Amino acid sequence: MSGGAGEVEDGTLAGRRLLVCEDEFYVAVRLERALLDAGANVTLFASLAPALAHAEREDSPDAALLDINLRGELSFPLADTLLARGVPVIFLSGYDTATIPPAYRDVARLQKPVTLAQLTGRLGELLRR
Amino acid sequence: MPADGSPLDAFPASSRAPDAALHQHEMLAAFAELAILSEDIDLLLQEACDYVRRAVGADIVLLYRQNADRRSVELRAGAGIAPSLIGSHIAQGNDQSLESRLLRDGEPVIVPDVRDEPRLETRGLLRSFDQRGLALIPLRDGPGTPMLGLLHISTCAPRDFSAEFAFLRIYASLVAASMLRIDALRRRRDEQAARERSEWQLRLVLEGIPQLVWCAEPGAQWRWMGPQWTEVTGRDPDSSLGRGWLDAVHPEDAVAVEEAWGAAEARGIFEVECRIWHQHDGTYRWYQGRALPTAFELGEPTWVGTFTDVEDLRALEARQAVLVAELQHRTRNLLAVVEGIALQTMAAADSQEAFETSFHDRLQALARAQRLLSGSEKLTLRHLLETERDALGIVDRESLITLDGPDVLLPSTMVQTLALMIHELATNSRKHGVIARGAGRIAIRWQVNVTGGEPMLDLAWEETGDWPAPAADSRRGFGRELIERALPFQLGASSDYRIAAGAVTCRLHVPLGGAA
Repeated sequence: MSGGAGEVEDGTLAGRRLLVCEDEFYVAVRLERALLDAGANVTLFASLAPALAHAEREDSPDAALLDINLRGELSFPLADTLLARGVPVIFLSGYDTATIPPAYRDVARLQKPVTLAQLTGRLGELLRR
Repeated sequence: MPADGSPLDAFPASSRAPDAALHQHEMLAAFAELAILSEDIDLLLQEACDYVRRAVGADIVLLYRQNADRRSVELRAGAGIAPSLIGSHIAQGNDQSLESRLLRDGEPVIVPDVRDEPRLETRGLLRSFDQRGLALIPLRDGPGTPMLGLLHISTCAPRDFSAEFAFLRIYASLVAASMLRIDALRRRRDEQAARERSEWQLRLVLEGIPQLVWCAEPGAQWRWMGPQWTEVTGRDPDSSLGRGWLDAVHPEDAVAVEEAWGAAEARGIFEVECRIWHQHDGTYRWYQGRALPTAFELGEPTWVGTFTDVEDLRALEARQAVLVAELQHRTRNLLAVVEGIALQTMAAADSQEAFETSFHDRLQALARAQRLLSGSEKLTLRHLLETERDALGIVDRESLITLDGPDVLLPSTMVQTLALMIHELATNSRKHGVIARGAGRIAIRWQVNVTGGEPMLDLAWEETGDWPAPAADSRRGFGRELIERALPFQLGASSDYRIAAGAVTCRLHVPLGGAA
């Protein structure tokens, strides 16, 4: 676990709207805290159905951070929806590459457990493009 | 010594009678018929000895068969001697003896009195049997055929067998021809039996192995299949020949099968996994097909192949992949949870010691939940609650804490969070409440209600006793955070948690969901 969220904070995340899906409370709370600290607006979901409904209804977020396994459901349909709307997606997952379907192997991915520096750094990279 | 009922009985032993010639011809004709029909060499040889002995009025008639070493003979039948002598061997020691020349060159031997003939190797033997008149006739079917042995005719009195020579030759020829015929017959029967045995074994393997066996010509044209095919698919062999067998293959796998055939010649092997209709299961099962090109005819191979049932293997592979993925997911999530608990515990702890104790206890609760999750049985809520109650390690736990509710199977997604919640409530009680004082009552009650078609679990912790109201704490503790934020977030639960003087209540309303 490396330090706080601020160490690579360069303001890229400030004011950005981020969709975060993570079903593990303690992980979700940490992610939310770090992203809020970096100035982002965070919408947090623990399960697939409400997140899908949100993604289809609301304006597209600037980026999305998705746990692959949400209470036993895979978040790939949500990734499809977001990617189709041009929203950059990062998978957050405990799965090895081998267990990820080939169609999603090119999507950005962070391995759990993730450091907050990795998280904000990777999100910043995607958003600066 | 003729056997009972032998045709020989028809001929009285009166060969020296005036009608001797006719008598001899009749006997020869009878023996010829016997020889032609016989299928038993030993019986035939014995009959031959008896016939000849009586036909020419000899005292001893013997039939020797030449051994494979060509240096000795074996007595196979005899008349006028003790039967126990049959089977004995006589070696030829002298190349120039009359016996040796007979066996080598086919020269018959006629000796009116063996006492006058020093070239006989067996003179001593003959003398010991008091034999003097002797004829030895080679046993052979004709010129150019193998020398089988010799026919021995002898008498006690000196006698010249020249007169009967032609006649004896006919007997010898008949015997030799029959021996060859019967040998050939036996060889053919042995070969046939060996072939049948080998075919039987081959068929046993082909029809017995638990695989579908087949032969095909290029282009997936089946020309033979084992009975397993019909047994498994329920399709009769005729309609499966040619490309008919492809009808039993799952339509979605037809392309894969065609591609495998297309590549088979270049690869030198046909190899495919496809689903084949199973008449007993009433469904398709996965098979691995393999064939190799063999027995080229005019440059075209015959493909010999099998289909092997790999349905169970594939199911196991799929299950293993799921388990590996699940293991990765659980392990890494668990690390994240431990990290989260550490951070939360740290934020709520007053001191290093307080952190250590609380963190250790929470890890223990987590470990108990993991043990329950990795058990093979379905997990009930009561089992979980009993595990947590036992973990308190207090003697009067069952009187202080009562459990009351139906059997409810817990979805695995709920186990960890519920275990942590019970642990937090018990820890609080151990510090301030019923467990700390050893008095009062904790009643844990639950029931399942279906609202809007969805099963909901209502779980209540009701702790009553005698203790003062807690001091107001501005910080939200770990337990309260868990109950009021984590449970709603993680399980979609609603919760109500109150602490007052002499009463702690925690009520949980949580969807059980469909997934286990």
